[in-house]
Amino acid sequence: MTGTVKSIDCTNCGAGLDVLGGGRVVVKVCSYCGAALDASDAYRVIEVYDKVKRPPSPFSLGQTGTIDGVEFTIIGTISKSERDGGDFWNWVDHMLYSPTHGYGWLTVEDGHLLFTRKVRDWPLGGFVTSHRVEMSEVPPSSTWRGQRYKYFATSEWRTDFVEGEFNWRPKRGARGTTVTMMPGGAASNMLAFVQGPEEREVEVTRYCPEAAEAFGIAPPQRIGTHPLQPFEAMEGSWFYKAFFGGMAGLAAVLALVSLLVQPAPVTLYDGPGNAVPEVMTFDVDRVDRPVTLNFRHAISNAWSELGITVIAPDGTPVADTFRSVSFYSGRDSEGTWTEGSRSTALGFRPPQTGTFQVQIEVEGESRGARREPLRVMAQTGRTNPVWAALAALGFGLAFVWVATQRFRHRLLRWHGSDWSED
Amino acid sequence: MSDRSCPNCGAALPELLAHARMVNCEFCGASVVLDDAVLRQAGEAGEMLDAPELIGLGRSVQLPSGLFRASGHVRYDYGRGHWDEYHGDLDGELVWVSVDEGDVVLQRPMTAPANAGRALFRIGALLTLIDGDYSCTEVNSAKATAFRGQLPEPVAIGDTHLYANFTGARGELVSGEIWDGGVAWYRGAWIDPFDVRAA
Repeated sequence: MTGTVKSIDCTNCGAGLDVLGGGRVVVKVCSYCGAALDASDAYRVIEVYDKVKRPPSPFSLGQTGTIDGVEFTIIGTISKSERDGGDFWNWVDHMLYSPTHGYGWLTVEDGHLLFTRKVRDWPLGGFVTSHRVEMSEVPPSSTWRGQRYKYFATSEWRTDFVEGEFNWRPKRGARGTTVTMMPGGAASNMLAFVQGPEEREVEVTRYCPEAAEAFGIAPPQRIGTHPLQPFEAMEGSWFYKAFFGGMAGLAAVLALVSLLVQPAPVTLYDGPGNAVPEVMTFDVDRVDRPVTLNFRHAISNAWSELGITVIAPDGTPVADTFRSVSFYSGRDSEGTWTEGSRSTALGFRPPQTGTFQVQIEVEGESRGARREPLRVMAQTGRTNPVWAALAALGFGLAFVWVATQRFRHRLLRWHGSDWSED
Repeated sequence: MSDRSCPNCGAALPELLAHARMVNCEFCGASVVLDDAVLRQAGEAGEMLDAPELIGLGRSVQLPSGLFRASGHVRYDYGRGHWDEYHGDLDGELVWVSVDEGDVVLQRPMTAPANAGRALFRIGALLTLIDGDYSCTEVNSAKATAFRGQLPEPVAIGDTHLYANFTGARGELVSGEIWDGGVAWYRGAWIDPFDVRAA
């Protein structure tokens, strides 16, 4: 009867080995000498594998833990790998055994923990082979227990390490193919169509981070996002979403208001460019708001350069600079065209309140541009919408980042799919 | 308790179910068979060693297809392990439920297939039924080692029979049993053990 034999001596090396699995175990691979022993034939030696370094895993043979209310014992360990061009993946499968619920797998893949078990109620449409995937023009799909699963990837794996007990005959170096499918939405599990050397199986895998605590180990460091990893919203995401969204909206409103609610400009001069007064004046009553001088010189197919001097009420020069204006237009085979602008501006922060003076000298001209109408306007007490607009942009980006967590997670989950339209 | 008593020790037997043809005496451990309303002792009921069980006698469990309450329990030993078979009521229908290390199968008797001879009891043999082909995945001998409760047919505790399991393309199961003087065939539907819940 099962359970009466609790340990054996390896028939190859004599090492004492615990018997962990049930009556359906067919092979036991000695942890010490690598001999594969036939559990159904007095543990005779089937073959002896060369010693291979045990793959890193936080789990070990004999550990017990409860998953989904069922106590399982780890009875075997297999490591598998896959190479595709320059890419390499490997993972460790631990065979689980429960007297009431049978056999399953606890997989460690990039620190992610997965629980897998075989199901006999195969999906509608039957077994999905890699050949069927290759022949398909659209991603193959299957329906299992009322849920539709969509093709995810095909894995051509190789068995690298075997240790412990198994209810079938694993072999080091054996190769197989697994086609996996996931539901399109919030996936809770993955279907795997496993084509091994001797049999076909359909397995269902779910993400199982609680296995670490169940088996009394520290949770492994996870690398990347696993396709089955459920979405976990960042802590306080609702607060951040509301905060960033609210601040973005507030900043946008402020930018809009400061853009629209501007003091009316005062016209200092509006006449021929060659009759500009020697000195023009305007009053400033706030030093915390910028001043903008706007110039519009109505030239055509010409350019001019305006020498501009601004003097503060106390006689201090605030600006001594020039601005170029050029405007050209014409018609060619592609239609009419224009180049340049008739307007220019000068902005500055007033150092004091009072009456400012402006002196303009047209320093360069061409083909009578100096005679063309020139308008000079001063706009004081201006508000600057740029900072509010930048804040709106920054808060808006932060809001989008937080609000799209779930979408980005889904993209990452399907990132590993190898389906291509080719 | 009923007014029937154990032919071995005289202790009162439990109230017999209408379908019961075999019952164990809880006092002396005898196996009691009901033949034409006459009770006779048919050996021991065997030792039912404690083992974790998904299904228990007299304890209702919810299966995907209904509420199942086992009234009889037989344990078969295949050498390296054992499996349990429970007979009971599934929403008014009497069925067998087999539990073998997490493989739970709801079984109903079926007519023996036309070509169901001993030659079919070999690994890889193909059994063709009206709904498809079934491949033989296991052949072994098993011995009934113990029983408890009430069974619809006598089971010879200690006797060995040959069995074969045939698997269909989608995991359907057909089982055949051969023993001296008889054969029995069952068609099975796999039940996910995680779908077996205490009622």
